[in-house]
Amino acid sequence: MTMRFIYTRTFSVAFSIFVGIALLIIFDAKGYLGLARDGFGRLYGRTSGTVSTGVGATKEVFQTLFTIRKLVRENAQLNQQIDELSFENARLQSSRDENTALRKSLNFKTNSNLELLPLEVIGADPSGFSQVITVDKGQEEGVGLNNAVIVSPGLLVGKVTSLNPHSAQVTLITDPSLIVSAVVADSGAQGLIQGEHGLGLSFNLISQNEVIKTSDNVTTSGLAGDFPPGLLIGQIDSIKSSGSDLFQKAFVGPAADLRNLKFVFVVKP
Amino acid sequence: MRYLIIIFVLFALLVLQTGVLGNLGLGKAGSLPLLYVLITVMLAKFRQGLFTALAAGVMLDLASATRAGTITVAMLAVLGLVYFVINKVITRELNRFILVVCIILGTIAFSVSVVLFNRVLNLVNLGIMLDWRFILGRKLILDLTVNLIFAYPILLLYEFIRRQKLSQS
Repeated sequence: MTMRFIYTRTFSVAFSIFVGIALLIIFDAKGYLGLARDGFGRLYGRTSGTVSTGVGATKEVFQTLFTIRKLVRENAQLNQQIDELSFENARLQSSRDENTALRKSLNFKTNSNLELLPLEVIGADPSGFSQVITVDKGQEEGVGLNNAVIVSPGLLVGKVTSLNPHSAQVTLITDPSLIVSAVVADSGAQGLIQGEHGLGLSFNLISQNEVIKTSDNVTTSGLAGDFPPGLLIGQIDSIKSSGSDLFQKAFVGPAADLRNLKFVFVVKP
Repeated sequence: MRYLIIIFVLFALLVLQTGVLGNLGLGKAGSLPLLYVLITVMLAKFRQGLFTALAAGVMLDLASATRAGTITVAMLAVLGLVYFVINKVITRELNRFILVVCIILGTIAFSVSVVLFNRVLNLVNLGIMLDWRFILGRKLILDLTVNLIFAYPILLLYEFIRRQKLSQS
């Protein structure tokens, strides 16, 4: 009598749902859902991208009406910055030439250009549980797991963490699951960058005797072998440090605009 | 035909969330498909609520970075909880207060279920890394706020679709 419930419709439906979900999990773990994720991701990504473009255009119209005066002021400031940056650029180019010559003369391997594969961002994780974007190329097009992902001109965006045949998922640096070994460009202070759920980056485990200051550039150190060295991560916004702490901590603003990613590049090893 | 309309509505809500709300900075908070599931469970028959929960769960599973099945299980947990509360605990005609309570309970149950099920999957190395303190802290507060704001528009959408289906049949 107690076993009669297995012949009921309710049990059949519940059992079917249980088996369906178990199969879904197993197929996803085995990678059989790759094509389904590809297809749905493209459809959803293209549709939401089209809608987003329309909304963005409407937003721009209203924003333009309200910011014309602000643009005139900013234009003047930017023109001045261009002059300053041109001078700095000339100075840095001269330093780079000197650096290349020194490396050649010491028989070091010269800095080679990274081999890049362009990708288009077709979607983002709508659930909000992780900072992940979907790109339009996958395993068949040469994207590899754990490849670094950047935007021009060398700003770190994240890492490929999941592959499908024709699409891939990239975890952004603002996701706390991604830890990047980093170095401050000026002082050489080293530490670990970890995301703060899309709200910025925290730069942890910086030794107390290292000197860091706000506006310092933070780049990848390449020491852990996870990312190529020299990719710009961001600038230090603020520093949290007291004498009693074992390590210093800083907050870094990402250099790349991670909310408006359209085209990115995978760095092929 | 009814089920096709449900799938289309869920897809449209998903696109609306990322395409429109995402552009306004609200894309990562709240969940319009979850709201639609909650309202369907409260106002429609169990079978329709079950189908809506499964369809929304599978869609979100395919679009998100979590392991496929995680969000589907969470949606079913929400379905079970809200159905139990409406039919066994409250057992009276729905009013605005009950709607708000169910949306709050449903949103909390959804986040807790995702975290718990991901933990279970992590025991067999199938889950992903999720920061449960963030999901059940700041994100949950944002989700509750956004879901309560959009509850009434989604309710109107559900009523509009229901009237369209009734006028056609």
